[in-house]
Amino acid sequence: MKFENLSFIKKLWLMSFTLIATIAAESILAHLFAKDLRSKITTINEVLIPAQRNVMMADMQHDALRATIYRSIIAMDRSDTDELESSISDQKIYSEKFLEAIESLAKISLSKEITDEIDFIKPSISKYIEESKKLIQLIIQGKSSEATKQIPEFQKTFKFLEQRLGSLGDMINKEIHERNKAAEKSTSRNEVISTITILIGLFIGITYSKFTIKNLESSILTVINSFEIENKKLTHTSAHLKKTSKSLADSASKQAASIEETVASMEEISSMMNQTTQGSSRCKELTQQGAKNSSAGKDAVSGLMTSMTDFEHSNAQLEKMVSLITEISNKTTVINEIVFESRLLAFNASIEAARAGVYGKGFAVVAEEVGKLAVMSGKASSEISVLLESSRLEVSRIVGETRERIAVAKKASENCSTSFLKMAESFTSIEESATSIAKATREQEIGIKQTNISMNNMDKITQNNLQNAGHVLSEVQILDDVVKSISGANQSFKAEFYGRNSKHLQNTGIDTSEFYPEKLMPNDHQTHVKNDFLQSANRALIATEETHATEPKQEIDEPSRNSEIVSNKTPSSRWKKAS
Amino acid sequence: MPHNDKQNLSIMPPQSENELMESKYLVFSLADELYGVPLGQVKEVIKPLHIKPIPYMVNYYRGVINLHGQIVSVIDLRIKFELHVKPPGEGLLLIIETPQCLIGTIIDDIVSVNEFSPKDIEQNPNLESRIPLDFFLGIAKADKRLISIVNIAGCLTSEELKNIQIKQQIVSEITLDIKDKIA
Repeated sequence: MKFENLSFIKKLWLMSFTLIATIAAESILAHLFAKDLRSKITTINEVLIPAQRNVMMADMQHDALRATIYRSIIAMDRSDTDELESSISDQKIYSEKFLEAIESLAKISLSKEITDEIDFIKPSISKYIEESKKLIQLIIQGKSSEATKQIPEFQKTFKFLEQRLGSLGDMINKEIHERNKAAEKSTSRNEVISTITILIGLFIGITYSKFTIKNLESSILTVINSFEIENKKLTHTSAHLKKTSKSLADSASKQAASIEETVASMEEISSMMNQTTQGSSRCKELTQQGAKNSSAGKDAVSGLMTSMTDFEHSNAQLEKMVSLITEISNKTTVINEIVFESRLLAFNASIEAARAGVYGKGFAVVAEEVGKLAVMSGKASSEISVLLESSRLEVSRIVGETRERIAVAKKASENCSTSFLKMAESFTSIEESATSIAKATREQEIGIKQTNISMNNMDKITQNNLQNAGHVLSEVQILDDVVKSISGANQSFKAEFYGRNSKHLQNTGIDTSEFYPEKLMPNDHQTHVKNDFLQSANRALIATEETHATEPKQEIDEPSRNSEIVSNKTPSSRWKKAS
Repeated sequence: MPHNDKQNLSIMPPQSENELMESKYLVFSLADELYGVPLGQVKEVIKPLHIKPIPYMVNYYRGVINLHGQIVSVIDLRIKFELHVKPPGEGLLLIIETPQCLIGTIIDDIVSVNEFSPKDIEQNPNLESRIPLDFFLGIAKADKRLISIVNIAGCLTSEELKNIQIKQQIVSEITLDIKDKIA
């Protein structure tokens, strides 16, 4: 995983871990070095210094022994017994101390060379102590000659020991020196190591810090920038929100007015519905009456039909009369025939009379009279015939006309009957329709009641909306304050981040004027908006309250009155009341 | 009016037999025109009888009728006068007595029996006609109307009359034969 891909926290963790690790390593190293140094110091303290002391002690005891010997010799010469006795005790003490020093030196862990040296000089020391003891004994015993003889030997051992102890001290010094040198060396090495470690740690830490701080800077910059952007957006949004809440309040007031109008309309509809109900019941009654009338009409028409049938019968009788007249007319033909015959007869008689000459004269008169009669009868007959014909024609015309009229009337009455039937059906369907209208109207009334309930609910909701709009405005105010404080905080943080006099500060201020196209300062705009909102909200509230107050009256000219009331009342008090 | 004329005329008193015979005319109508025949030529007027057609005769010869057991030839004056022909069975049959035989003529109707003095009759009027002059006797003036006085026997030539007579005789013989055979 790359360093850049690590999260910021991880980076911080890594950085601090590195630093801690460096510190820990440093402390561990320091501890180790201190331990080393302490061990070295301990070695010096516990080994070399006691060794040095013991060597010195040994050398002193060695010198003291020789001095004791010489003192005892001198005391003997003087025959000072006290001095001699103290010399003996001193010799004993010094030899003991000498041995003790050597023993303790031998006990101290030293380099092998020194140990070998100690082991090497140990017999000489023992010999030296024996010789000193012997010398003291000899001196005490008064054998000074023997003692004097023995002294060169003793001197020789002394010198040897002196030399050896000196070399031992040198060796120990050398050792101390060496060890000091080693300690110094290790110390300098440790210093180098710790310096390197510190440098490495510093390097790593600085590198990490550089990266991390750079990263952090960019992150913080991003955060600040996004803060700025978001703040701008937020300011924008809050401005919008103000507008929106204003329009919300307006809408709420309008809605209240609309609701009121709707309630009035509902009332009107309800009254209309009542009228409809009355109308439908009246329609039902009328329809029933109409149905009765139509059935009566139907009966009348059926009666008319019966009359028509009677008429037809009468017409048939009339037709019979026509045939009768025709028969009479036929009989007239017979009369005409007779008349014709009579005329012929009269003519022939005239002819015969003419033929008879003078004798037929009277007959001729008779014939002429007969002819005249015939002519008269013919005339009468033809007149009768004409009359009959005309009456026949008249009667047939009447019959025909009556038949036609009856047919027409029959058809008309049939049509009438059908119409009445249809009318009855129509009345039935009208009645059904009226019933269904009444039913529908009832349902509609129920619906209107429910609608009224809904309207009341809506009214409450509108009031709530108004209150909410007020709340929203106050919230928007708070939001605006918050935005401003955030902006200030951001600004101060930026100042802190870049330094007070940084050039970055010049472009960081949020240009809020771009969100107010009215060229108003934000505060002015806010107050303006707020006042507007308050007024509109008040208006809406008053409207809704008026609606509530006047709802039972249900007057249609409410809106005009409302407007008057709105203008009369002070908005602020209303608003306080509402909020 | 024809009736009034007839009435007026018929009331006139007769003078002498011959004079009466000569002066009385039977007026009949034919195709809306009035014609008169001397009453002495008229045998009788009858209703139209069934006319039996005779083949191979002149076109105005309609056939024969049985008049009181006597066979009488019937001519149609309308055809003869080249007038509009009426369907058979209408009008009347005027039976004319000629010296040779009886001839039935189909007329429309009898109008009256009129009496004309010779001064009433215009003799030989200045006219040109295809009708022979012995058929057309003159024109009588009766009130406002003119009546053609015709001699029906004269309208047929003697040959025609003869032919008619022969035909009539043949028919009579045949009829007699048939009657005998039936008997």
